Amino acid sequence: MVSDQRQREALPDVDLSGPASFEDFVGAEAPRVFAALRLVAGGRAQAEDLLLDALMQVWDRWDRVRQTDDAPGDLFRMAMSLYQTRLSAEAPARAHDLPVVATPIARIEASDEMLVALDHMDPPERLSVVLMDLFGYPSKDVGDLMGIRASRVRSLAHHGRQELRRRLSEADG
Amino acid sequence: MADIRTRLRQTHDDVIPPSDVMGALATRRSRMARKRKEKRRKVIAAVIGIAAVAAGIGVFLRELSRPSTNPLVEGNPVPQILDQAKLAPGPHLLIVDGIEITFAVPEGWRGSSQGVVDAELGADPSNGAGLTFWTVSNVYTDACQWRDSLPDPPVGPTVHDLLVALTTQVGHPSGDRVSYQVDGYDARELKMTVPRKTDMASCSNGEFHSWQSPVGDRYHQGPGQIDQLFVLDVDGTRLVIDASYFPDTSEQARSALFAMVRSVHFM
Repeated sequence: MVSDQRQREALPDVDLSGPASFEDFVGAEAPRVFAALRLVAGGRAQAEDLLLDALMQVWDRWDRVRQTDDAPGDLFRMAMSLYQTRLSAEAPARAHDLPVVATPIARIEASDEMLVALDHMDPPERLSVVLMDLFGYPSKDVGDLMGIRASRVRSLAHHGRQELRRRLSEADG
Repeated sequence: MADIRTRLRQTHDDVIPPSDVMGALATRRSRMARKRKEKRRKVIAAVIGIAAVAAGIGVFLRELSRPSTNPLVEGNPVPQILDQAKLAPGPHLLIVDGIEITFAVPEGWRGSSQGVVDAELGADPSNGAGLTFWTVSNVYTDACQWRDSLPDPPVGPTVHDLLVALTTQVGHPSGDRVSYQVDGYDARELKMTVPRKTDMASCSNGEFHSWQSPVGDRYHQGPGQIDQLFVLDVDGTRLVIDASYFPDTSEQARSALFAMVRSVHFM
């Protein structure tokens, strides 16, 4: 008890309202959000670009964002929203990375059957599957993000899972 | 569904994060600031220009029409790429039709008239590589029988115009157009291949030409040559970045090509 008290007294004052600096925030959150974007966006270059765009928006209003309860969640939602906006604006040309033979990372990614299968999926199906099955979002929330009805999201996710299973079983031989 | 969820989780956890995100953000921020500054400069110039015209002071207009200065070149010696010159590794400057471009040249490259080529192998078959920069003025409709195939009127000025002309070029197949970004500018990436079975001797002048530019034609070095084109609009000037290689080009040289594209910076 005495030692606990001493320990508590020895602790420095720490601002628990959010990360100390934007740089700390980037260091902690960028890898996690990038991993999500890499699965969703269909290519490494696109994922990097989306991450930077989302972080730029956060950086521009960092004083406010750092005070919120869920700055990492804000960044995640902003990144997904940016992706959806691009998806709506661009269609149907599927973005892709630079030639896959070019870098060691591309070689590692090419050996991941799930990543290869995801990259070849229809983008709305891929987004539905990843957000629902990996991150546990309800279909209604995904529908709000994508601007479609929840039933349509469930249908996309259903077809997406079937497509994923087919591609994975082909890859598994 | 559990199997998919488990494998998704595994893949998610295995994703390799990008390096130096803060550095990339700082670069993007400074570029945006530069663009805003340039935009302000143009607006101010336009306003002053109107005032000057109203006052009949032509001298102001001549001053305003001068290109902006390049502090990097004037104050700091970023070496300029010269044709045939062996290049030390590091950032180099190339000026194409008034566009000042810097990019990081790795070890083992030399200057060419429009960019850089492999110092040892050049851009020639069967394993050469080159990175060149072009402003395209017209596109041959037939890359092999190119001599009489220049369209009149020439191809339009937009990125889209050029992509349409390239993707419909006879004898020079291309892949999908995809989005990419070069130094924050939206680009369209297009891969074109000189068919392996092309008999160059049967083409006009024994050469295979894609396009015309103010400094001459882009002609290709041999069958099988792959041109990974990045087409973009740099503040009103359409630019083509051409990363060319062959199926037998080493992976190291290809990686170097695309690393150079990634390092491109417009002044």
